[in-house]
Amino acid sequence: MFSKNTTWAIGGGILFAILLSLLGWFLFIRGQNNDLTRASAGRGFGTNIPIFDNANGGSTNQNIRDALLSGFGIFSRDSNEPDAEIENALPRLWNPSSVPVAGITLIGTSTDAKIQFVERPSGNIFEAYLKDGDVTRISNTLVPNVYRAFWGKDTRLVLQHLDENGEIATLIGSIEKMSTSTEESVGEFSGSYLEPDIVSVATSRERNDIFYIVKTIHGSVGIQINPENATQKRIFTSHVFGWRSVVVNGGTILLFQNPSQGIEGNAFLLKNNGDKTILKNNVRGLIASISRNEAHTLYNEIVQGRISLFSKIEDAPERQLSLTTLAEKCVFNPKNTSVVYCAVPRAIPEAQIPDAWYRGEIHFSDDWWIIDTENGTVEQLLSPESDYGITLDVVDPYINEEGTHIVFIDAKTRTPWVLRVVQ
Amino acid sequence: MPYVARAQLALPEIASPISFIVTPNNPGPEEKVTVRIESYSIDLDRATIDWFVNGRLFDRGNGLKTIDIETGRIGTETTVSVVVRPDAITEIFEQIAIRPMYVSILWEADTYTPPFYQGRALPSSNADILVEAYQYMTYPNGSVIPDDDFVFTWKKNGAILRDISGRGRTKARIAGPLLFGEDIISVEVVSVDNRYKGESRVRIAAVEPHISLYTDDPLLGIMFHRALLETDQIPIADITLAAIPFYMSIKNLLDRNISYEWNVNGQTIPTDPRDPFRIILRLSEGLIANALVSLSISHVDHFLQSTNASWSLLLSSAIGAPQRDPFFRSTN
Repeated sequence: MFSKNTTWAIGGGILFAILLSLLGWFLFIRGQNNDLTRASAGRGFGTNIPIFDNANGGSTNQNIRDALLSGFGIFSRDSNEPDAEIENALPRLWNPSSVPVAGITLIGTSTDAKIQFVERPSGNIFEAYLKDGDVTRISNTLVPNVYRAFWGKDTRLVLQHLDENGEIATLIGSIEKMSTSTEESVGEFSGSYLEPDIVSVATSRERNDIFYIVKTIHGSVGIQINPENATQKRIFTSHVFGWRSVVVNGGTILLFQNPSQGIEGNAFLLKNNGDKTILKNNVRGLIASISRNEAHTLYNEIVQGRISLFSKIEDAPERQLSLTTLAEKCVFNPKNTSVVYCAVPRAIPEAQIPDAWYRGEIHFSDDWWIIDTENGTVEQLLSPESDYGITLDVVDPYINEEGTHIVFIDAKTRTPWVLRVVQ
Repeated sequence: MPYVARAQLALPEIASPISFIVTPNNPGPEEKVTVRIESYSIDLDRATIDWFVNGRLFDRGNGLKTIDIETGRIGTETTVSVVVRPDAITEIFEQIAIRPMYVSILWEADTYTPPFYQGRALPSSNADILVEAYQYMTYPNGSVIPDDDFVFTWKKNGAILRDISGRGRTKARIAGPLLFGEDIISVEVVSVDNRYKGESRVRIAAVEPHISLYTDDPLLGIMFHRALLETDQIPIADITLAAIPFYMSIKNLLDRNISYEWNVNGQTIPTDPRDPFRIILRLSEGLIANALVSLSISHVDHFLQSTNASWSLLLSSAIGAPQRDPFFRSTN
């Protein structure tokens, strides 16, 4: 019916049309992918999302490598440390991850000392030994948007995130190795949820007990649970909800009201049996901290923009310290509790402090100082801004039992940092 | 010389011409206290006065009407006594006991602050205040005296709040001050046997509600740790903003008692009732542009709790010429 030429022409035309369609589809898909890539990058994808190359790797390792390549090397193992003998040592100020975290802690002693941190986007848990600094993911269980993390005894962890209603959800559990796993394999965070609306959590690395304050219709209730034997007891009640709780030692919890500039605050020491004694009462802008042996207290009075820091050693008269900082930026040297390490703002912005700081509206650039509260002398330990050209606003500092390292979070970026105290 | 030996007075107790003034009126433990004596019938300036503290001579002088002492620890009793000799033959003895106790008022406003916020919930106009009296006192044997053994008398600006006062009434909810106003809330704590007495007061001022604006990141959630400044730069072209109203009388951000009114570059943005505190700004490709974002939040019941704020945000996705109004706006 058709000539051979006609058949070839029609066939060629169809083939050409198909190829043209495929080319158009390819170009369309590529364009869409580019849009998606740009949109994803705008949301922070690619830089902050873990990219799981293998079981032990992850975004954090990649971030460290990126940091090395991007001039961030002063915080890497290749940093120019003055002590040539510390060949494998980490830099004195180390940023183990550029991903925001929910918390960081120090575990173990001496050569087994390591850090653990929880990535905020994924809830994945990472650790790194201080002897080599290799960051390893130890849990790949997805817990999105983790805002706070608290470490208990052994591998127990408490994670807090927001549920679909924007309410605080609190997950308690521990890291369990896969049954078929090897020593290096990734574990799984397994746990269960506590009641909603837990506004404060305090954990102890020495005891199984975990303390938390939960909102109820009758006020706030402080509950101490022991996950080991599944017991719980109510040891605190209050009509107000805004409490900060910190484990001082195995038997005592420091409680103080959420502070505000010029507003009276009260601080208490709560025993495991529910006995409560007042530590400071009716102090305006009160922020309190106490040493593990309960002998040394640091506290702030903040009135009309003036931040005063006081030290009290047992029954001795109080002493106003010469440095201006918030007591929650300080940690006591566990070997000598009269020695305190404080992150001290280089300058205090004109703002309602601490309120504006808690709202994330202002940030400080802190230097680390050593304070001897026995005689009030101070000495600068390290200045991130002067020494390294970076600004760090310290929150949640924690010092290890040996007093050799302090971990903290930078409030502005929520990234984790490790400071070696000794030179 | 123990004061007991001098307890045989020249004048009967019922007509004692000496009265004590203790400042502060109800001191706490280990607190500096000024003790002063007054008399309407004796010229104290011309009298010889001996002061005894816990039975021991503390000070002595002609016309010495005031001493400064420090109270003891909780559960202790400090006795202060005076022997006044207005002339060579008259000797007047008077004594008080100071039993310090802790009394504090814990308070916060029943207003909204976001999850994980570590500051105090403050009262905007007419917001409710949650108050709690904390007392700590021990019997001489060291046992703690329970709240039910005390009568709590609450006052607001000096007027007794009878509805919330009474035996063991440590907790209360009271209406807070109006805009620009302040209230003085006090509580007097007296043991049922009238032996122990303490007092505390706080000054509570109304504040204006406050709006903070944060990035709501799909991975990180609302970035409460870093509020956007009044003038700020956002290096991405597609951003979700979350506005957080502090110190308003609401339970959560979706509370139906408040309404959000967003405006971007002069154009009102309709809000999604399921998510009214968020807004999405999306910039077309290759553009840099300024977004003047303003937000008004009104409270249905508390008109004086309304507030507004604005931010000038520079969004950029890539280098390009700014256009007049390049934003695509959405409310989720």
